[in-house]
Amino acid sequence: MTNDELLHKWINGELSEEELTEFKRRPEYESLRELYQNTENLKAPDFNQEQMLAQVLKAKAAAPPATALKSRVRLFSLLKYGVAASLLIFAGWMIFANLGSEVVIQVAQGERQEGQLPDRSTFVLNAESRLRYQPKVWPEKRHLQLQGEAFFRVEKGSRFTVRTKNGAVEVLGTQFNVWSRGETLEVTCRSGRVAVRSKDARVMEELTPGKALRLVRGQLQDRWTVPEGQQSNWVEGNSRFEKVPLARVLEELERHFKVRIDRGQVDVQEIVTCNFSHKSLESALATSLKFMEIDYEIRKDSTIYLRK
Amino acid sequence: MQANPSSVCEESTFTAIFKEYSKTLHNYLYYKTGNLALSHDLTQEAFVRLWKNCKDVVVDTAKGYVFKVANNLLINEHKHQQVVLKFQKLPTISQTNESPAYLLEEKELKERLEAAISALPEKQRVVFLLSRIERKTYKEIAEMLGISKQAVEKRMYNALDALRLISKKIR
Repeated sequence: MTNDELLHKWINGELSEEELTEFKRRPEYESLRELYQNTENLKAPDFNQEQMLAQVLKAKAAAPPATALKSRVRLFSLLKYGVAASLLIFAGWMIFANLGSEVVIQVAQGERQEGQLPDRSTFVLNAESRLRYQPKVWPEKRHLQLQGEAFFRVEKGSRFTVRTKNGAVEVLGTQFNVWSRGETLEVTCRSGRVAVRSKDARVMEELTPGKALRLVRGQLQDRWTVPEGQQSNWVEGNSRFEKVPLARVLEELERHFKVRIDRGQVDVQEIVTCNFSHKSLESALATSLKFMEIDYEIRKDSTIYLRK
Repeated sequence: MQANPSSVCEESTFTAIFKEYSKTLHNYLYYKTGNLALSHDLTQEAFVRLWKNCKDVVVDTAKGYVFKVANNLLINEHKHQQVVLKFQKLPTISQTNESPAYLLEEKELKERLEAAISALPEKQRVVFLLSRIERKTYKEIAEMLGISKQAVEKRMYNALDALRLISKKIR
């Protein structure tokens, strides 16, 4: 019934004379005609287009597109510096004024930090990572800024947002991991539901338990399911990698074990799927590198040399 | 022959894109949410983002871009609120000379229709109004919503089926 060709042609005004005559003979024609007559002059409420356009164009002043900037630099260079200087002063003042109310947690190489947020949600911050939030606005606005990697167990309540420079992750109450370094954002959902939004909001994805995804430069690069029985992650002492460049595995090894790895001639762009345990450096190297047929040598200055 | 295709970063091009699609986007959001203020804000925000990211968007995809951005922002804002739509009714010449009783009946009919349209499931409502009020073709609606033409047909059919029966009840 839904692929009623005559009806759809009538709606779009595509009926021929004969077809129209046929359509008019239908029992439901009169009620349809009436409905269309009654809705003939309906119109959505107006809005002020000109005013909105002016508002939108003004946004340029706040963040000018690079190409437009070039032609203006020469003409208004002095003005531009003036504006830049006052913006800097303003930004400085903003940072200063808010300094007292912000909590910053920073974790060095080879360490991790567990903590509790004002609403008793908890986080585990991985090595070389940084978490910032304003306890003042908690729990109405549960906003965090993250650089690096952290695992969250979120108490039920208002929206909980983790912002990174690669996009935002939003939940109501759940357990999930966020990894944001360089231009990559990786999110794994352990329980509940998680929404991931790229910075420009062009990409919006939902994750259910056991699902993970990766955004690179704001584009969805991959989605995958964490295999059954391998749900444990770095928090429980096991780092997992899904189709990542070898370079990332090596960086993570450096981060965890506070070592330096000399890449030698090894192709670090090769894509690998692997994991390593945090129990000992030797076993981590063995599991992550051996099967790739990479030899390694640990020297006294905690530098590891790789050989293909 | 022009060396550079017109860029979204050109103010004149951007203005043209804005004039072409902002109303459709605004009305689409209104049909979906029934929230005028929200529709206004999201339309503005979507175009601000287009303007800021103009380097990464080509003219042909600008429409898709603003719809996608607005939809994504909406997922956060919009949590199945009750939708109450209000329409303007353009006066037709014949209407102005009608008797007060007739005008009252007309007003009642309009309110009932608004209520019936508001009560449609969101997906059907959006398709029906884009077709009926915005006069969009099925193809345009399918593109706008990122669904198949068959899905548009189905939603339209179901919407008409529901509304047709309700407007019969009015009499």
